[in-house]
Amino acid sequence: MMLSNAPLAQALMALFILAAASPASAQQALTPERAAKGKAVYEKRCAGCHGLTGQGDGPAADRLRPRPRDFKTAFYKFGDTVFGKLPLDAAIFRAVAEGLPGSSMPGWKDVLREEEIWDVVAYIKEFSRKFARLKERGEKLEPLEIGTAPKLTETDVQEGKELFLKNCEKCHGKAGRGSGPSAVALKHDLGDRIWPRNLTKGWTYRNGNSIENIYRTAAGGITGTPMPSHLESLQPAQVWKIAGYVDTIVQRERPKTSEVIIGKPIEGAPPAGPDDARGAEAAATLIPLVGQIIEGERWFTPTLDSVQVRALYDSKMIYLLVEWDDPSASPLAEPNDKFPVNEPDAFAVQLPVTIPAGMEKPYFLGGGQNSPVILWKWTNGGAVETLSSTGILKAEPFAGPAASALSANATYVDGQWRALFTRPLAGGGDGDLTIETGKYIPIAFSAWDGNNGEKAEQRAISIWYWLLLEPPTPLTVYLWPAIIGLLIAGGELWLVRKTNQHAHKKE
Amino acid sequence: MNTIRLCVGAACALTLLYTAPAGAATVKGVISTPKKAGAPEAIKVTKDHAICGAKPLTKEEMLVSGAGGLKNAVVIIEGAGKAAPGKGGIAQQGGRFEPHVITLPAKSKLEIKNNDGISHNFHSFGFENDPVNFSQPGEMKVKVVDKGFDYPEVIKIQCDIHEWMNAWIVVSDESAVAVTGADGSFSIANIKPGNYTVKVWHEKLGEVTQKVTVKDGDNQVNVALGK
Ligand code: HEC
Ligand code: HEC
Repeated sequence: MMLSNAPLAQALMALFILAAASPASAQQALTPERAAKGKAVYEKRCAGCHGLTGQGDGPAADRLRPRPRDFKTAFYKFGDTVFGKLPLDAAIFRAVAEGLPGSSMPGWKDVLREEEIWDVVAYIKEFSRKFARLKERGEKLEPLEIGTAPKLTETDVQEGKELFLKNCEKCHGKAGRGSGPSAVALKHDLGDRIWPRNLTKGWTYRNGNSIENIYRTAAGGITGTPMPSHLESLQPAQVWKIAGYVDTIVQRERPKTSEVIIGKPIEGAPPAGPDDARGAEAAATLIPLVGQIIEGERWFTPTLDSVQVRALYDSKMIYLLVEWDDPSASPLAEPNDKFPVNEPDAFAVQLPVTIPAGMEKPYFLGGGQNSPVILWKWTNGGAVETLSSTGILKAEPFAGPAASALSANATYVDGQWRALFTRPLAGGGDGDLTIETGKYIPIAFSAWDGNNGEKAEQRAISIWYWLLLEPPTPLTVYLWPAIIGLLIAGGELWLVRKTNQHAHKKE
Repeated sequence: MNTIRLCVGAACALTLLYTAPAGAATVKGVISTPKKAGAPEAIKVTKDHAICGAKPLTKEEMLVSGAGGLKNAVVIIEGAGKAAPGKGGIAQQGGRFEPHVITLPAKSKLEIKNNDGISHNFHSFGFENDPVNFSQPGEMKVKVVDKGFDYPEVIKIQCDIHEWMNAWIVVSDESAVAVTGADGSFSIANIKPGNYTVKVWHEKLGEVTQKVTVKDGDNQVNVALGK
């Protein structure tokens, strides 16, 4: 139909779009015309990762884990159907619009109009002949039924826990941190290594972390991965109980990061180990970690994503308590044939040699030629050591009175390392840091997951943060934090940008 | 009885599922490889030792007899007859799948047993056939998958909980199918004389095809893989 009256046509069009747009994922007819329109969107926005032919092999793909979806094999993970079945259109729409947290798949709802998203959904379905075959067979996709969450009593949740330990623990681990005995030997159907989700970190769930979302995943599984469906072996009511239990261990919001780790003074007996209740006297600061992709042998596939830090001190010593989730304590006691790599886990705290006067800090990746740093490095099964470093691969053992008094005491329980670093405040010699109260001391962290093959520069890193030992008489003037906050926000942005640049290098 | 004697090892049960093609010829032979395999490597059992380590487990991907016979190769005589759907079976037992390789007529059901009393999962890696992956806890002694093996395809099976456990299902719409025994031998009876293509598949050594002319009586077809 041609309309001669252009404004009217536009108004009609706008009305039409409005009507179509009302419920965000209202089913649209995915016509060949739509798919043809979607091609342009796809080639501009998606092909860099998913590849021109949709096989998940765009120029950026090799750097991304999980890999971008291969639309030809059509193993959609979050299709709202049971394991192995093709996805519903609305589910593909949702993945494109919202993105998949914890992966590099961005959400597009702020970039593309709803109509454009439907176009591209129509287009990507054409990469697989399985959708057409379904039609030829006259079959319809059966949506996975969720219904509404039942009211669960405490007994139900307790039962859910038992069912969890029986059905999910082998992969997700006793505490749900993804550290079960089978977690270290899992592969995606297309060959890459894959880890069970750390169910305590709700913000890393790809497909939503509401109790209904958890039910859906547990009931239907995740196509193309080891995550199995459970409706064959359990009643829906039992799966709801499991979801009810997971609901009690999931932290939904990512904790806020603070730029400054405030160390608290203590008196009396110092913390005896990483599990000592005294640790709770200082607030924990969550510090994000990302793969080291800046220098040397870069590392795009870290498994460790954050560390929680607390600091305490007394008249002589500093006590730094660090906790990070790691799917396994490696080297593994029982290495498997599938992934024989078995390096030791390790963790390092990085500090400058002298407290900088202003905002100048050494290069954050292992210091620089004229601005060395020291590292307190703990290695599982080895000794803790102090290293002096003038660059990412230029660390050397460092001896001195404080270095020889450095100790680290680490325990691994159910997917979490907890380590207590203890060292005299006084550096006691040239080239070692004396930690003073009331001063902002740059501090950064590195963590290695040995079972993921991480060693040397291949590891997860943070940018610089600040350690501030609160003087026994509280500081009254806090001018610095505001300034520092700004600086750090800048630094984080820079790191994120750098990460993205590398990931999309060839786009 | 005749059929039973003619088939070999694990292939027996399944050969019987196929409707016998009409014909008087028998095709038999040995699938072999010049590759020396040595004693099969021990599997590292990393969990559920009481059950999975009860009998020492060894890798089954390359089983070669002293004379070079290749176990668990699948032989298909193409065009000799259409397979009739039936029911195949496989068991999770002692931390392995028994048998390691089965053939299954297209559109058949599959009965999966868990004889271990511990949690397994059954994860299939089909493409033509939608993959499945379901949990099979100890109490679920038998699970019958009613549909989902419609198209001819070689499908790998994996238990992800026990990373070393895998098996293969060769879905075929051909009726003249066999799995070789420990000495690499196979035998397929009741083939109509004529010209055929014989296809041989093995999980490590891949696939070869060979043209054969089948005459009345016994026909010897020997195929070597991995030359
Ligand atoms: C920066 C890389 C990147 C870009 C650009 C990108 N994707 Fe993705 N996409 C991914 C990754 C990685 C995954 C897989 C995530 C996973 O497996 O959990 C994915 C998964 C998907 C999925 C699968 C959802 C499911 O249920 O399995 C769809 C659909 C998808 N992308 C569509 C698109 C579309 C459409 C575009 C363009 C508008 C696009 N993607 C752009 C990286 C990207
Ligand atoms: C055989 C191993 C295995 C078992 C058993 C298993 N899972 Fe998983 N699960 C996984 C893997 C692997 C992933 C990650 C998949 C991915 O990254 O795409 C996962 C992911 C998940 C997710 C995250 C979904 C999302 O949106 O990101 C949830 C929730 C989950 N599993 C719940 C469960 C529950 C509940 C059970 C028991 C009823 C269970 N799983 C049993 C391996 C397993």
